[in-house]
Amino acid sequence: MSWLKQNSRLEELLALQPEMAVRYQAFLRALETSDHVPSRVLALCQARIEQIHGGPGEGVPGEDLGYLATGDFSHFAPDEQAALDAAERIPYQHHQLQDEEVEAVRLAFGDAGCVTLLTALSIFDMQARLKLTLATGEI
Amino acid sequence: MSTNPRVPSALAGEPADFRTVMAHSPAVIGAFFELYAEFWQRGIVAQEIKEMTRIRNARITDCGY
Repeated sequence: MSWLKQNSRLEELLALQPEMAVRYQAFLRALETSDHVPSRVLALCQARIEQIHGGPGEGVPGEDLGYLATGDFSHFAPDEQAALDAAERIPYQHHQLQDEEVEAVRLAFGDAGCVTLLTALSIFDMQARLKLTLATGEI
Repeated sequence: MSTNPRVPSALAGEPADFRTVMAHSPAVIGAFFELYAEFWQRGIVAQEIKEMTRIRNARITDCGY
């Protein structure tokens, strides 16, 4: 339940500003449909960022959620590990994100993928914070 | 925190900055600017208040913008 409107998820609250909601959803779609980063990588990173913010995470198999929750990403493929190492920094350690960690992302996904992934990580973090701030109950 | 660009400019002959680095992913940055323009140019909250909170947010996160 949100402060603004009972029983509302973030998507429903954003609809209070329809023009902004349309553009917000278009922005998310541009990230999700990017050819530069596999959708599974984005889903893993979003789930981990939501976990860091206190939620269970969603959008990936339960087994993966369990591995993500440990913070030990050795179970995952090397490109997924590189993405998750960067994701781990974004919510509360973004100043500690190291050049080597960004370089690992570049090597895994290329320049376009690096830009796309780092943008996505920031948006996942922002979205989690927005859900918490608006008390949507989704995290 | 690194002070050197970690990704080169996507635009030949132009230095790496937010616009030229983001240009590696045109669909994403295009959608971002559409959203950002909507956020700044319309809405109920006055631009002065948005700018004040933007600056405060930038200071807290050590952003130079």
